[in-house]
Amino acid sequence: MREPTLNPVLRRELLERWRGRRAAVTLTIYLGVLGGLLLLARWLATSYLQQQAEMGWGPVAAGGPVLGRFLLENLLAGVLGLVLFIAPGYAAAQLAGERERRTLGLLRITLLRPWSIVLGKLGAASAWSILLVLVTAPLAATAFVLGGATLGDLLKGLLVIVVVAVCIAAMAIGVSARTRRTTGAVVMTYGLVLVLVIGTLIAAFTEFAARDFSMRDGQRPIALYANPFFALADATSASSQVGFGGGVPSVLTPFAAMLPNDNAFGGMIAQPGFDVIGSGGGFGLVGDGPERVADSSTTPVWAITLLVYLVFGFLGLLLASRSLGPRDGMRET
Amino acid sequence: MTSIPFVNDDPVPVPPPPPAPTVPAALTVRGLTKRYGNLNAVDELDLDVPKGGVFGLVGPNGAGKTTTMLATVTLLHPDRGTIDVLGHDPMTQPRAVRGVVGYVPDTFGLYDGLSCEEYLDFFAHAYEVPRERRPEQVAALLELVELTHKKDTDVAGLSRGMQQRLSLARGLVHDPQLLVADEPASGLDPRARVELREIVKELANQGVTIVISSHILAELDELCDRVAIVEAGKVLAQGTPDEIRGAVQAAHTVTVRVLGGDDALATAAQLAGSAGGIVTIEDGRLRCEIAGGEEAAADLLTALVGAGIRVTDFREDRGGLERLFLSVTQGVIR
Repeated sequence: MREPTLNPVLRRELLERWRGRRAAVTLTIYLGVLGGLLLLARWLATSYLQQQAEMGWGPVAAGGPVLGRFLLENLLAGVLGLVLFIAPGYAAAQLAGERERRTLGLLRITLLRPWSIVLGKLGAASAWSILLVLVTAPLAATAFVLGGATLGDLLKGLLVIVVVAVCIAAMAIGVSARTRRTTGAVVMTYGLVLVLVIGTLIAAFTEFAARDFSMRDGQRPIALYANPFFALADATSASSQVGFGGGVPSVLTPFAAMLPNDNAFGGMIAQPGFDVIGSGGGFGLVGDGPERVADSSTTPVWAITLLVYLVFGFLGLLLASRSLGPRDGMRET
Repeated sequence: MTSIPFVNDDPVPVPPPPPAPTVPAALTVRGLTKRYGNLNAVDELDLDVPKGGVFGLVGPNGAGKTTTMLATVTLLHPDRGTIDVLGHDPMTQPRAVRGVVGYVPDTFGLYDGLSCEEYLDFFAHAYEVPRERRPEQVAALLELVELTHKKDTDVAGLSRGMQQRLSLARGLVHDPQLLVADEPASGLDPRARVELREIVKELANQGVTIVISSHILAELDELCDRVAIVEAGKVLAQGTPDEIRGAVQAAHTVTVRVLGGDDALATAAQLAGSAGGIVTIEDGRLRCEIAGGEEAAADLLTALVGAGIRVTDFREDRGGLERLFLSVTQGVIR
């Protein structure tokens, strides 16, 4: 029986990419940017809440669950944005890069099976994305301790980011397998990401407009289910009930407004779940922050989105695996 | 193979097909055809590479050498024809072929950031060399290609010659029985070429069958036991250089040196001319093109000695692979 060993392609990629200074520098910059954005968000939210309190609209001046939820939603949205920005560039270069440097043929004539090569590449690309998500945990903890979000919201949010990142990497590898040049693969993959983030919104708006800007309760344009921020808004239980006594609007607020149990497309209006109580010198919040009226009979949006991404990701890998056969006119050595 | 064209316009006799090798075949190709659009990269190509020794694929750029090699190592599907690599079909049994064939392409596949040792270890792993055997195998290969002192050096930092030697080591990482090397000496300086040639010889001595292509014909001349001359996607001739020469050359050329100065040389020239040869005198030597093969050459020597001419040197001018190549090919440019 053969002993289990790390996929050689994955091992080589890890050796090649991770032991140099570049990985450490990238991580440092990533955390620096994220930390900076978090501080900026905190300052903005505090100012906003203070302003509301001064005008007599808001319940609280600083800290507390509203701030915690706001920071967590923005942090997770920021991580998702950065992962969507970083992961495709790295993953798209995987097979096209091998072809460009004339090593793909050398890899193909080894005893590695196409699936093994593709999974090794996916592992290398995903490991990077997963690391980016993991190193965010301490930052998430600072937001999480303020309250306003459940552990479930945080874990579901992280799950959405990780699965989306891995599946986009898989799609990028599929694209990479069909292109001759790394540049082409990277451009095409970023195009794909743009379609998933922006294109789905345009498609959703088009469908909504086609239905005279009104949809039945719980019904939402189908394209939204392929939007990663839409899924993240659902996974983190983000709410559109902000301002005038509600939460602070975050990056996810517009996406939350489009969720099936919100009212942006018509239908039932969800009520914010805040109770305002006196708290010493000021006001405080109790409860877990804004809540949406959840319809327990339907599959959560985030689960549907992840399923969609898993299917797309699998198709990407299948395409990549099938592309690793002899191809006319493409020199691979 | 239907005819052998010459560089001149004379009609060419059809040579007999090469005798079937008596040793088992390492590679047999029949009717291999590959088209790219309107271009016939390989056109009904037949090849017989016996086990053991060095087999040279000689031909101009675009002759179809690389296409043939790529099809052999499972990197290309031909349109037609069959290939047998040590009993395996590259199209239906690619893994079996990959297990017994090593490939050295004309470019060095570089993985930035890996040392020579890690580079070979990666490929050994990919070829399923057991983990416990890998360090020993890698060390042996580094020693074979004389790169032990560079084992911790980044592959990107090696000279071209060293990279090519490492590439050769990579092709041998799973102990293949057949090594296919496409222009391995291309772009190397003379010293690096000599070093590479010595390694190839050493491998052949170890029993590895080597199929090698090169533009540097003088190099193949020294190295190869058998050659195939390829042009426009077809094999024009194959066999040992002597077999091919025998098939395509109607006349023998001998050079003769004699004692006795110009008078003796003139006498010898007269004698050779009367025997029916075309005789020229160059640099104090007699150069005779005589019809009739070795028999005629022996007769000429007997006649010279019988006439009292003191012959100091009598040798057949066989010409190198280069001359043979030029006499077989017609310089088809595609």
